[in-house]
Amino acid sequence: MSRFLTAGLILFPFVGLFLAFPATFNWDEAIGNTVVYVLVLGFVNVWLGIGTAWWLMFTESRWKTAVEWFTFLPLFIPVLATMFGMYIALAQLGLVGTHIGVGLVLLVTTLPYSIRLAYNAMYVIGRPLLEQTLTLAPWSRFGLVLFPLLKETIRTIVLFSTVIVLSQFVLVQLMGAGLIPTVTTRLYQAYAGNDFALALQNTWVLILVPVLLYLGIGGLFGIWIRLVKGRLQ
Amino acid sequence: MSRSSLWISLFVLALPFTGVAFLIYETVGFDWSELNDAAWRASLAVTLYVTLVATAVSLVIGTWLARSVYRRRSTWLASLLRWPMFVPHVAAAYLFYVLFSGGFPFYGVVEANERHHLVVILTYVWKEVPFVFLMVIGTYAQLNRGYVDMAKTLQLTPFEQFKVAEWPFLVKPLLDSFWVLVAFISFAYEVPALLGVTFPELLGVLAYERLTTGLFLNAFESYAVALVWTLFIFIGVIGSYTLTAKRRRRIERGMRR
Amino acid sequence: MRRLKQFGLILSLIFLAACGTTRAEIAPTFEQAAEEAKQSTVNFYMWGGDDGINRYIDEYVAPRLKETYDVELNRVPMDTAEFVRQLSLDKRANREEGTIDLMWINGDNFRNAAEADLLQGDLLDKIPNAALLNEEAQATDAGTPTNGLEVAWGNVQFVLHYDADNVKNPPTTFDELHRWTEENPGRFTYPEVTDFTGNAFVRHLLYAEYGAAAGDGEIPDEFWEKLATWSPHLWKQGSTYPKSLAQLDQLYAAGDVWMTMGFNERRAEAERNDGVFPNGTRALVLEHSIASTHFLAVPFNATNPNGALVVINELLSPEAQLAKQDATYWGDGTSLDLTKLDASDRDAFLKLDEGVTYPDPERLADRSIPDYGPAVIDAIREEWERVAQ
Repeated sequence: MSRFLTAGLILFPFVGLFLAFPATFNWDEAIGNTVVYVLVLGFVNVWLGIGTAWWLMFTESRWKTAVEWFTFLPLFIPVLATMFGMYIALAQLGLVGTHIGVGLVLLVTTLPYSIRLAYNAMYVIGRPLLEQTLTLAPWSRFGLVLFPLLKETIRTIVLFSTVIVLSQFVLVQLMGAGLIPTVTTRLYQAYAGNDFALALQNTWVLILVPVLLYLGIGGLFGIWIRLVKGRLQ
Repeated sequence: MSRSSLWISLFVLALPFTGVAFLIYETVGFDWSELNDAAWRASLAVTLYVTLVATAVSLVIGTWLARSVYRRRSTWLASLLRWPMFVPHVAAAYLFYVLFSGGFPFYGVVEANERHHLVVILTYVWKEVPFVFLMVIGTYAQLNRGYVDMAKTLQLTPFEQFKVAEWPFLVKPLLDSFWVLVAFISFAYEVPALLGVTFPELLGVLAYERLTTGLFLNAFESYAVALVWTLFIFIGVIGSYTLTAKRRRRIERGMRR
Repeated sequence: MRRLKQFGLILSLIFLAACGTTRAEIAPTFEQAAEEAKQSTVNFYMWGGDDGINRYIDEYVAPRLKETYDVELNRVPMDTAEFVRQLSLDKRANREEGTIDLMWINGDNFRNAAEADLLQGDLLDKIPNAALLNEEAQATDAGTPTNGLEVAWGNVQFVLHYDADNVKNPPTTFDELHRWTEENPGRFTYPEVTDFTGNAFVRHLLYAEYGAAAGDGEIPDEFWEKLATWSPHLWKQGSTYPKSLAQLDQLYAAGDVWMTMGFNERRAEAERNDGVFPNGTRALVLEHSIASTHFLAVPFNATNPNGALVVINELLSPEAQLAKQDATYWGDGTSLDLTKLDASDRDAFLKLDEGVTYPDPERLADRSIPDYGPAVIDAIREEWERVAQ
């Protein structure tokens, strides 16, 4: 009984999704942009997150404490607060209204989480186990040991970065100068208008993208691990 | 491999600091007494209320759930808790808005857009409990059962068992979660903009509105508030981490058998 | 180390690419501008919350431009205040090649943009169709002189709309409206005063009390005390207000409230025909109605200012203005002076005056008042919080 109650409490907000059915599903530029951003940022976050966490874990340097704080503090800087300064900086680089500019600021909002998640996971696995892999060449180290070991962490990093990226409206609108539509910016316009079905359709997309990605990565890992196991035998 | 990614990370993460520098630059010569108006004061009060209640409730429920998953090995709960994590905050806000703004059974009991901000808090709790759960469950997973068993053998009360055998290890993940949630909730725009009220508004909403509507003079107010708030959280983070540093390190050493 | 060098090289390349950009030049005559603009794209930034307006641009204007001038029109939906702020950041960052070529603007946003020097001047003499403009509408924008920094695109008046199936005896003055809200609690509200329309509604109440005398921005305390007496009878007892006109329209469409409002006396026709607004929707003109003009402007750092001129000229053509005023798309009043048009064009405009939700044009013209200046808009925005508390 209490199980049903708990499940009900956790799942009830999803009821909202079924109040109206999305009329038609059209693949458009906004969905395309969103999917590309999510994939690219997921990949970059895994790469930079694990790489940076690796450095923090294994490199002895007198800068270490400073670097730790430098990668940690951005977690606590509200996006709204830094957005305008970032705009000025990116305008100097000519990156406003470009895909690279938007990708960069989205990376800013996600990377601190990824580094933290990767670091915590490596910490749990423990230094001794990871140190043994240092004898392997970088690529096989990554493919044969780190990937399978950090499987769940990588999934979590991708999930986190995806969900954070999909939440950004104000930031994408400003840095993209309105020229780069995503499902989220579209959703805001739908909220503002009168179209309930359109708003709900965008909400569906926003939830389905992370779910599918999470399942997809899980599947890919399954295949990869089976391959690695085959090689080891 | 790790060095190049470190450099790129440092470059990317320099951007938000540039943002803070910009705020400092903009607020030089700002007349701070301008912030002493009713809207900002009320906003600060309601922001503290919403942030602290949502954060505290999320921490308690998240820890409690992680604890019961750990004790009873209820994997079904662990996989169920993943679901809210798939929902971006914007989408969550919209779902709650749809459910609580009228025409649906909950209407009348709890309503969106009212002054107690209950639906705002509810949305955040729903979204953040899984986050706290995730942060805490890792600690439980590697918790040495010996401590718990020993506490039981000594016939301590359940509360004392928790205090002695679990709490010391939870300080770090809970501190992490606390500050992440406080920083995030206190200055966000999307959720309170959709579910909040005209007065009082949460800091993020008020700051964004003063920036976008009309008077450019008000932009400096927003910059000043953003700056003060960021520094306030920085001080909180750095302070609480240095205060607990010694203790945490000792525990961490003890934990690695 | 090698990687570090590569990285530094890329960085400096990005910096080099960013420097050395200069402002785009406007051609001296319209013919040259049209020649320059061929095969170019114009980024037209405009508020995107109305489906009819968006379709007018995408389905009517854009294909015509492509055909006549070989110019691509890219409509970018964004809130006006947001892109004005973007421009002010551009100014601060010395960004000389911006993303906005043309924008839709008026009121305090224009005042801000003009004060911050964000707009290109001397637009009128480069645009042939500007000769057809209604000079009175072109002269000022909510009390601020336009000085050739923007070109009038449309001219409308403020009206309320109500659902005649629910409202049997509609009020005729603002005082009666107040009494009506007391008799029908929860059935009326207005957008927050940060919203363009919500602010205008409060200005109407101010005018009802003090007339043109309140134009200096000094609003007596009694006014706010009286306005506060409206609150308990408004939607949700006045504890919250719609954030935007679109939200008020949503409430009206859903039947939660029985009145909505807005600039543009023809705005409800298409909504009613599409079944969004109730069938009983009718116009309500109280004792006075603020006339408002909205404009087109070119920002200081437009990359394609010549293309923007071409688009403005096309938007001011009698055919495009006629299609705009028709209820099919938008129903927005023309900014042209009908006396300057050919007889056939003029007749076509006059024929458009029939609509179920349209107010009586003579009565509307009769009650028209000019807007207060920006001082009042600002004062309302600053002080209204006392009512919302």
